[in-house]
Amino acid sequence: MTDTPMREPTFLVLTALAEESRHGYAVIEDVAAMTGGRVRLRAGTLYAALDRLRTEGLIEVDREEVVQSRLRRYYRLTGAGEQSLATETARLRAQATIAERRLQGRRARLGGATT
Amino acid sequence: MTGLERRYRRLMRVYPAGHRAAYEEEMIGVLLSGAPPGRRFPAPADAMDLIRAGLTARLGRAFHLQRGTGWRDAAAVTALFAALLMAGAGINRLIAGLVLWGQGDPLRLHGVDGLMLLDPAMRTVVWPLVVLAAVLGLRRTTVALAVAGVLVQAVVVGLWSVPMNARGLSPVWGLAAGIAITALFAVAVSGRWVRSVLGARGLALAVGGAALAAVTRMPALEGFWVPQGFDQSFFQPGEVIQDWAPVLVLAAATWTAGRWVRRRIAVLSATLFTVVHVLRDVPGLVNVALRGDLGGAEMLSGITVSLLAPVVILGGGLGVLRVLESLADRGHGQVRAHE
Repeated sequence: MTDTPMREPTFLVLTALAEESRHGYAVIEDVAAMTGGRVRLRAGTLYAALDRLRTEGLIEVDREEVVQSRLRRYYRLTGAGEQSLATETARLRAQATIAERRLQGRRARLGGATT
Repeated sequence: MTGLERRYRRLMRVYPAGHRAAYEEEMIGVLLSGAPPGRRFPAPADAMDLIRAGLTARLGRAFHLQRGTGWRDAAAVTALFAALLMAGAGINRLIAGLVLWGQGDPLRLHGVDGLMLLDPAMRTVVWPLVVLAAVLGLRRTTVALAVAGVLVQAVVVGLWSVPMNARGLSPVWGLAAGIAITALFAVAVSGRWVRSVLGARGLALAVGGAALAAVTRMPALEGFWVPQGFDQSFFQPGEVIQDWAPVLVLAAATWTAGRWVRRRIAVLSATLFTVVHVLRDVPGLVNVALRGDLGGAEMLSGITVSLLAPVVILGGGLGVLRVLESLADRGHGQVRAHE
């Protein structure tokens, strides 16, 4: 694990897998739903992230199914993946808290100046 | 198989074989699931995404295969050799200058007596310090001192540029060598200590090779080592002693580094040597052209060929290394897969 902030697609893929194991297309759909359609992962980006996360041991294959003659592989979060997602979530929350506090302070100052 | 699937499969060829074996069927399923009914050709955004991700996977794999295969060791050794030769060149020029100074030459530059000695004096201080730090394993200090060496070489270029017009570019080779040494030491900063790559004997041989190159190029000392009454030209070191003997000694110094590191040192050293050689030649070429002895087109073609030489040497060397490694892998029955 590094101190480098996680990239958004990685964070979203881990978040999609935090609830339950999902196959590739289900991850794309869940990420689109989570972000209100703002992020729609494409296959190349998704599988680059899945391959890297598997190599880093943050996700693993849960099971494989064949649906309409097509391979469907389900992925799930590992313990290391859960830890990594928790760390990143805490980091984002801490940053959001600071940003929120400063915005409140700014609004109070500006409000004070205008009255 | 539909036309759309066939086209997606064609696009997937941009991925390395290992990645395709692991993910192609799954990815095709995802791509077809996301395609609206009736689509015959891949969406441009999907196609671009596949090409980008595929090329990234290929580059990442190539980088991964090269990691831990001795490039850092080779960079450290090549940089040490080059720093040793720079130190030797500085000491050589300083001694030659001091001898001339002793013989009454004012060594005047920019109207200041003795200023010519500033060039070799600075080089004599900085490059041996770089070598010492590298030998002691102080890797970050080595890089910092090498940066100081680059600054010294830049000052040297500045010193000579004003009074000598095109010939003033001659010391540019030293600046280029300094930058290359710094880059190589920076690459090697997370690698092994250079002493553990070469061993104590290898280090001693490396110092000996650089000393041999420096001593045999000391024209100002000719009179000192030729016995009275003997023909001086007979004792003049020839090309074999000046060039090939140091190269052989330096090659012997790499003996303990292992075959693959040795080959990488050979490729990096040959490239660096060619860069320096070319940059020593190009200012001369410009100078000849300025005197009107060479046409503009001839000068440009000469410079182009010269500047391409290091690229050809590096590319050729990497190609040969790749072929040798493939042959060795086949010999050992190894198969490198993506995962």
